[in-house]
Amino acid sequence: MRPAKGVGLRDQDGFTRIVLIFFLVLFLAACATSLSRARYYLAQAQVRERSFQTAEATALYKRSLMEAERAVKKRPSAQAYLLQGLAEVRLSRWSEASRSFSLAASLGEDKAENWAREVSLYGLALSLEEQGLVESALRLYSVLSERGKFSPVVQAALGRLVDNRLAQLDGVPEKEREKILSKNIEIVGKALDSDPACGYYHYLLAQLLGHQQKYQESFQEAVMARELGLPTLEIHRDNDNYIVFCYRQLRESLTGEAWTEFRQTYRLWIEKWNWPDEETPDWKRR
Amino acid sequence: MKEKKLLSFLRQAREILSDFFPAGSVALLPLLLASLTWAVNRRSEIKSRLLGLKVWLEPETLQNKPAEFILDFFAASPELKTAFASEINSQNLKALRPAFRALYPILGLQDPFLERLFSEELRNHDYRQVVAEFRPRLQQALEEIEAARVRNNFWRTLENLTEGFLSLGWRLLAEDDIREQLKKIIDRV
Repeated sequence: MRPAKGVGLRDQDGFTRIVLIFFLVLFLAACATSLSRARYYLAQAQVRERSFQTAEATALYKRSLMEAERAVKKRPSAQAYLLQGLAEVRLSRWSEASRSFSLAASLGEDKAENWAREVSLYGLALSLEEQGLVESALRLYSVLSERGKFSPVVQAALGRLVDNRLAQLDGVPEKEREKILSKNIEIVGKALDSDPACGYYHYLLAQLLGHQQKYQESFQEAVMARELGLPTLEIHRDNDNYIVFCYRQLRESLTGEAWTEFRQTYRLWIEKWNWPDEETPDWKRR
Repeated sequence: MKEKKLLSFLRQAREILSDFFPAGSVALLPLLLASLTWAVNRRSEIKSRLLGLKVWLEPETLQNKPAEFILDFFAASPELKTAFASEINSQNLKALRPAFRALYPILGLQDPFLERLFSEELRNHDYRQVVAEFRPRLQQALEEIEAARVRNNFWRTLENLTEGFLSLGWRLLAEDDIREQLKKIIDRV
């Protein structure tokens, strides 16, 4: 009986070990699955964002965030925190994102340290602006848009900077107005030099050139913005309205061959975009 | 799609949603119309769309359009041109800018929620009334939604309604067509 008991105990130990290993494997697999799902949803969200499916993109960022949070709970790792931070940035949850990047950095993810700093500065600038400390906020936006390395923050800061500067144009003497506009065009131009494929920068440039009444250049930038993709459906529609506005302005100002040439180009674009006519974007009710 | 079927669906949806809103709610029908319109192209995220409503309706870029763009917006539409003739002729941007901030998201960007929220005024071409009412009514609607959304099952109910709507075959149509159909019929609900 004894040997039989001994064998039984060994069997039991072995069984416990197998069960433990099985659960460990399951546990690790679950972590890996959460991580890979978080990564997958993040990539899918970016694809949706590029094709103006903003709401779907938001939903996917939220799913990515949920999976990353799950992975963090199960087994905190630099990569899980990094993914969590990336999703939070896309959902404009700046303070949470800064915390996630800091934690990723503390676990050895080098690039996350700078991202954490930039995200936290942007969050601070937003708070300052909300409290009416516009000049201090603008200084931070300016630093981030000129020296930032993390593109979502650079884009957001640049947008806020240009918006705020444009708000100061009203009632400003012509010379000062031109100075503000040129300075902003220079800043956006620099951003475009470093990321020429960013549709949002082209959109901002189109708006600025419109303020200078340079409608042909403004039109070209708006076309590029449309072709490269814009971050939200509303900006996309606003950009289309801007294209129509440029068309109307140029119809008044261009003559002869210049008008004929522009009109031909314009028609080619709207044909590509399936617009029913020159002044009706495809999404507008006929 | 039979008009009768749609009407019956909308009546049912209104009844279900009315549990979440006060009597005489300004937000109920705009919310229903907008959710169904969004559902066609952007099915799953009615919630984020609504939560983002306040943010995107007043983005800074809209406040900072060039004077020419604002004048063009008013002059290009015959109804707006008539309604704001004196301001356009005198290029009175002090009056036109605030009007633009209210009217551009509705007429320029065609937001379905705002279109329904001001449907009465839009039908009567009473654009000045839209401008005068824009902030208080939007605020009221957002407060109603805020109160409704914290109640149990609100989002689930809304999602079920949009799912039910899509299951009637609407996803096969374009947003434009659906918006027109819904607009035609929603007053009878």
